Amino acid sequence: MATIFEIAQKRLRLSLISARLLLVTGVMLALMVGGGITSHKRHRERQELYEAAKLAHLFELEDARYYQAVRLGIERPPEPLSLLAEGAGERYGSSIILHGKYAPMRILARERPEYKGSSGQTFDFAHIIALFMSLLAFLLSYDPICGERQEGTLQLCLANTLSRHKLMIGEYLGCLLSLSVPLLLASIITLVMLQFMVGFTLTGENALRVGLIFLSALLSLSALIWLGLCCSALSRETTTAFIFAFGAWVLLVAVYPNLTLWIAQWQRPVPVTREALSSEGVFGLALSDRQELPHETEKMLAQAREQALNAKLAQGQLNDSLKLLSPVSSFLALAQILARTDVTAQRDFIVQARQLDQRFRQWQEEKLRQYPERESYYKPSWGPLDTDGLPAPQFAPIPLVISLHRALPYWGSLVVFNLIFCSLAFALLARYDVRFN
Amino acid sequence: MVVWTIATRTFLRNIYDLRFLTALPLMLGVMGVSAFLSVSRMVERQHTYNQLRSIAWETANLESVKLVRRPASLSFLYDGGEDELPRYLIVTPDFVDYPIEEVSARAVVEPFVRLDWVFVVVYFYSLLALLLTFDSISGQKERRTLSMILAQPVSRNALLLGSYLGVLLTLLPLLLIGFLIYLLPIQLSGVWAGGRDDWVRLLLVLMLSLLFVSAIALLGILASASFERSSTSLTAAFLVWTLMTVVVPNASELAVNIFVSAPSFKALQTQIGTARAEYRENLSHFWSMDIARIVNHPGLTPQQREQRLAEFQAGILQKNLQAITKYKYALRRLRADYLNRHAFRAALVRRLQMLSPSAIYQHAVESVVGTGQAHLAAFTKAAENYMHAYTTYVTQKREELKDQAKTHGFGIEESGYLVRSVTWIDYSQVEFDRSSMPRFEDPGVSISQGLSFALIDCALLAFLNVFLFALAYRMLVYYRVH
Repeated sequence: MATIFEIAQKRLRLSLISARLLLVTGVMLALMVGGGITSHKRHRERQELYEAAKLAHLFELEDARYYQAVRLGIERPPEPLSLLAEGAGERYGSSIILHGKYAPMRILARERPEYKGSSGQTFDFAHIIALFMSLLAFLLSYDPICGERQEGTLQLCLANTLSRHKLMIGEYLGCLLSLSVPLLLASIITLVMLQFMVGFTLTGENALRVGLIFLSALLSLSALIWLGLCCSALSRETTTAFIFAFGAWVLLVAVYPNLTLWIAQWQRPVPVTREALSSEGVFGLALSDRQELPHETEKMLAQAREQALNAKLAQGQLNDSLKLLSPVSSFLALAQILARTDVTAQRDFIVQARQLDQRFRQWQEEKLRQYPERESYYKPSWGPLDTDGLPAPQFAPIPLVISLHRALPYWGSLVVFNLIFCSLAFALLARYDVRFN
Repeated sequence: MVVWTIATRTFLRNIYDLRFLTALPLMLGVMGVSAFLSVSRMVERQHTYNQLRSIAWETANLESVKLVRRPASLSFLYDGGEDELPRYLIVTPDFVDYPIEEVSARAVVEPFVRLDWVFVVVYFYSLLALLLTFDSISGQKERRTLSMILAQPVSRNALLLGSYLGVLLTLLPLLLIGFLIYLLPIQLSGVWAGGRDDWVRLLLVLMLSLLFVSAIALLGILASASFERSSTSLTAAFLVWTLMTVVVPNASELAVNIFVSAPSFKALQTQIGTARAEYRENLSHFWSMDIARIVNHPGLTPQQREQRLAEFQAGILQKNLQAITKYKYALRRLRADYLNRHAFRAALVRRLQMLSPSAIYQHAVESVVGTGQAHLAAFTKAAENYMHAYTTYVTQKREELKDQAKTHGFGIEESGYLVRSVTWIDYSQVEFDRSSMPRFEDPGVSISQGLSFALIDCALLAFLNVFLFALAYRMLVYYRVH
């Protein structure tokens, strides 16, 4: 045991003062601070839009004079943890208008997509961590074996009573420990930044969610370290190992997410429907909310919209399940699940709205039985509308247990990746030619 | 001749080098995957475009028409956020607007890196160029061959030029092979027609890529001529490379996000609400007009009363039309302002990104290929031109088909007289002969346009090459060879 820790300590010291660690960590932390400020601004605006929308629904309800005009608006509050994982964002809509028996429900995005000039990247912390920490994991672990061979120290080390697997475990522990330092710094920045997010309170549940996200990051990084050690034990020269490791990084970070997206779009295509073009108002924004009763064509449009939405949900979910096959993507999926911004959470919101729609229909039937004359007609002498027992449009956030349940397969996948790469690394080192030439 | 000998020697050394041999299959593999993905994206885009265009033509009416953006034929080279940018514009008389999206059928999930030619060049070729050059001088010193070479009649200038040319010789065939790998699936899939213009563009992109990769190779040589140990030069070169490709582009975007606040959508909504309230107020003015005073005026004969009512009615309609027009133009101004401020921010990000050669290369390719912002700008301009033609056509048609328009409005009845007011006149259901309507075709970015956009970028890249070469030469002259 003592030798393992000695090796781990040596690796830790070497890594902590290395330029690559300092550079990557510095860049990552700076990006996190900048990205955090951006996310914070965006979140504040989202919060404002959310409150404005809620208020608008209240006013609308007060203004209603007959039952056909009563509409329910259910709003999904912006998630403060979206600082960690932006997830599906507003792509599935966060505002649902229910017309009950009079029309199908309408799903709206509160925020309009902004057509920005550059890459369109989201600077949420999960992406920054996945990008930089995985690079760092490879940068730290590509040279422990072949680098020492090149310097001639590997042969000397193994000439002592040190066994190869102890050497491997020591190097792994050293890398993991040195990675946990920047990760710890990142988590501190996250906690500080979260304190500034509107609507965030540090409850036990939230702390647990954040903690679990960072633990998942560590689990995913440990798999990547094993992979980096594999690269190191596969090659004789550090440059070759570097190319292998860099290739693995690009595959995991750039190629695989593109592939899953492509597979998801190929297997679950979203029909381009007429609604894409004809749901627009003539004057654009301002008159798009003019209060006209939906007629037959609008019902057809609504059906098309619903089909497209279901297809989109299916596509997103397929994409999410494909993420199981890569350690980096698994971590991203985990962060989204724990931050409650994944596609399934969006689906839950829509399901909740559908249930509310059912209750709303019952309420409408009941009221119309009581006051049949007030369906679509109004006389000033009748006074305000009777809205007792109107179901409250309240979004119930996803409980922790369900999040954990959904996260389980991804954790499983990360553990499996750890085991595979670990055994591969041991196998490769056992056959490694340690001679210095 | 000495230069040529050194160049061939460097070339052969590179070719047999293990890092080159391991990087080669990796690079070609990524190239292949990326080409394959690009093709599938292009097919999808073309399909969507055809569908949207037919829908747009069917649904065109006298109120508005939708102009669909044609996907750039070479978008496989540089994606430029083709899917993020608006796919179509809405043209109403006197007004070009971006679509407002409900939750629509747009692609749902996106990866955080999009694979295309530019990505592979910026992240792979440039890194390979760096890996091949970081030890060209310092490595020879470590192997103790440098002093021997310089003891021969070989000037330092020739040594530098020779190793530079050798690296270029290694990288050029790779670029060509990569290009072929890229073009093959695209040619086979049949989405790309491959006209003369496209070939010129391809050639230009190839030249730009060479210019960029050569700048990076010179950076590597500079690093190796600046330090005595090859590991130090690798670290330094990698540091600069990271700064250039990762830090500067992202940091400039972040800086703009932080220091130049985005126009708030909520503020826009509030402003629109104010404009609307003003419009409503103009309408409510109508209610306070006292018809009773005209109708029940004691001294009026029935004819006089009729006449006064007719005048009153005409006045009301006139006033309302004015109010609607004012409202429409207020909306137009507000929306244009909002979008302009977004465009300003995007332009600012680009200016800041000019600090990094990779970003310069990206922007140059974007302009030459005609995707992304360059395409959007050209498309918007074309749409504005079309808007004038459409407006003249629509005004004339509306005059002809005035009777079929649907009029939304309300009236006040007083003592048996009805006074009507119009909130808006809807021509969207009016049937008309579409064949006479001007058609729109997205012209894309022409080569001359693209080149004029990319000129500064090309000049900067060329200047960077010269500068780095001069700097490397200066460092080499003072290099301690022992």
